[in-house]
Amino acid sequence: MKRVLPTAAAIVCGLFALVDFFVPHPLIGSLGAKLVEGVMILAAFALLAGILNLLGVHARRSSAGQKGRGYSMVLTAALLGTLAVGVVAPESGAISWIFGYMYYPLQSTMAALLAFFVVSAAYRVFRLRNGEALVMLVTSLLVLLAQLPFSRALAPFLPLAREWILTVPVTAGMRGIILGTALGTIATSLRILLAVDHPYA
Amino acid sequence: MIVCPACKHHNPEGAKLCAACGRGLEGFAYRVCPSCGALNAARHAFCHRCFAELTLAEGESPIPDSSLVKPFTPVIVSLGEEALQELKRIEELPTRPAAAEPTPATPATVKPEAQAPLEAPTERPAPAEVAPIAPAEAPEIAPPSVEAVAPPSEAEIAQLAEGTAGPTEVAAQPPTMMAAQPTAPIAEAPILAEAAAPTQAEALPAEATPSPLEGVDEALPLEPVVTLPHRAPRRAARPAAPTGDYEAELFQQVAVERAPLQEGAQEVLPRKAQVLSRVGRIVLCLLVLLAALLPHFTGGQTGFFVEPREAVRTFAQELEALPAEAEVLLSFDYSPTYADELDPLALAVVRHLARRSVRMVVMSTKPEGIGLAEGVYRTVTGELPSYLYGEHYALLGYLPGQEAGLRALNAPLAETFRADHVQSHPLGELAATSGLATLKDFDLVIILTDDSLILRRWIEQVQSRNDIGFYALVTSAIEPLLVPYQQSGQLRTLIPAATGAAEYEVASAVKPATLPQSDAYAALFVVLLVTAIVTNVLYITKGERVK
Repeated sequence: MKRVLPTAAAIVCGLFALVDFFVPHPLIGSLGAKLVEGVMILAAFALLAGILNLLGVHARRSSAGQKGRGYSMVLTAALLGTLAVGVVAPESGAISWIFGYMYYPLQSTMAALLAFFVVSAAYRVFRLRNGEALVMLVTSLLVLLAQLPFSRALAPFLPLAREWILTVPVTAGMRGIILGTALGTIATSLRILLAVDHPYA
Repeated sequence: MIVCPACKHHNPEGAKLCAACGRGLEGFAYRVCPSCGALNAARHAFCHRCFAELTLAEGESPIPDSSLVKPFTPVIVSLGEEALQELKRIEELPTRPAAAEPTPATPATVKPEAQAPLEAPTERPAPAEVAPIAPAEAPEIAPPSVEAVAPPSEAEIAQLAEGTAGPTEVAAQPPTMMAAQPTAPIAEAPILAEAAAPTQAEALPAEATPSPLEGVDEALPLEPVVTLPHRAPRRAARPAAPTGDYEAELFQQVAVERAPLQEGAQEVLPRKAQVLSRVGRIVLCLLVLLAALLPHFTGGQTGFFVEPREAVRTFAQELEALPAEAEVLLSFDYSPTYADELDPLALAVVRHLARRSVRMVVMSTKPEGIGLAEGVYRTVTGELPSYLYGEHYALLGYLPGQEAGLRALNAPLAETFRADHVQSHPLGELAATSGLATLKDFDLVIILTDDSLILRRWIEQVQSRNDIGFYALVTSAIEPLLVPYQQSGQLRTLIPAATGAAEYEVASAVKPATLPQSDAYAALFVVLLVTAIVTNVLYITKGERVK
């Protein structure tokens, strides 16, 4: 019974979502909407469970005096502090301050370092070691040049070359990946619907 | 390991007699797998259950030596009149019931005739009348049947082994046998005795209860399989295989051997090269810093050269053509990591729409997205104080649930978003959202994202049901991943943000505010290009290419 009930529920819900997708009927649509609402509630509970688990892990690490316990304590304090501000005074502007003056600058700083990494990588990677490196170098240079705001003024063919690279070889590869992903999704869905896989049990 | 058929005692490999009961084991047909304990036929080299190698006695081959196997040659034996009559009489006799026969335990032991020809033909004298015939003319000779084979009795075996079969017994044999019998039976007697011995030994338990597997080729007897434990204890240590020794030696050789001098020279760079490499990186980092900062003081230098591409121009024209009461949905689906790339384009678009008093509704499928949208609208409303929250624009907030959340957008909007994000009013109470029932009521849907997966979710969950064309403003990194959707028409436009902001400002003729940033991008690209070119020039001229 432990396996039968989840399997039956998964199959029924999956088939219902599938029917809802293909049959535009008001009754089916409303029932499908209820199912989606249930998914969102479950996702919220999953988030709550994740937060509790995170707190538990870092609390254990802090209390056990393991390596990196300082980071765990900072993380726990930041999490609880932000949570408290958000719950107690959601419209006070404190949350916006935390976002604008702590979260945003930290993330932007991390992203800004990417420029240094990319240039450093270019210093080492863009070397004509073999034929493949030559293709990569030429393609990269063309795309980079075409990214410049004044690329049309520099050479009228540059935007066209970039367009061709993006729409022909890159798109061909991407189409292959998308088709493969779609086939994999269909196969996985069928396995779940036919109760071959039980990722929920 | 050999199992005694009588007492089931496990005897070591090569044992002649059972250590527990003294029964002869020579020629016994089963082996115990040293790995899993399964019983296997003696001629098997590997276990039928776990495919472990079965230990064989010294000099014993798991399969018959092919050199000993002679090709079958049909023979014609001339028989006398008496012999022919006797043969006819025998053929007319009723067949003995199979139950009366002693149950054969294994095919290896119940087919002495099948084994004997492998060893005996060299000693069998060819009769004078024997002549080879063509295969087409050869008479059909039925293979010896398991049921029809009656192993010789104990007395017969003893007599054969001693070579003392009396003349009366020989005379009692049918004339057919007499005629076909080789002239040297004594020479074959030991072979027959050897073949018959295991049959005699195994017949004991089989006589009591006929095996249900009788007649099945190469089947193991049921009783040992049931009574023996499933797994035998593993041996403490097994001698290493020759291949193992070889691999160990090879590993030791590889581990101990010093690297060639040439490889060492490649790994350890000279001090000068190390210093140059370090200095080069420092110079590069300084150049990047300069490229990023300088345009903020001298910005707008590249504005003269900026020429919008066709997609940007069309997008700007479509926004320009929107009526004042038009409703536009903007989804800020990006994080602060890419805010520096997407914020300028978002600012340019929002500024353009706000200047035309178009109503805007803002949402996000990322928790950080609404915070970024607040920053953009704060900037725009600072420039245009007449553009008011609630009347001209509204923030609906974060939509959780990823696919499920976007799927919920197909429902009436008031069900998906019960209230707005800033004032917590129901959507019907805000002027900006009062006329909106579903997603189809929007004139445009613009998605700003740094994640191709999010845009895919929009297409799969929302567009497939509403047939709305999306305008995607994305980071340059994910643009190539989304080109197929643009080619299929699912995206009306696809604009990379790195250069898109400056192009949009030029195309829409709004106040140019992002040109310094555009200059910074241009300077960084130039640094990258110069780095790639200089690196390769040095690489080629110094002759450091790997041969």
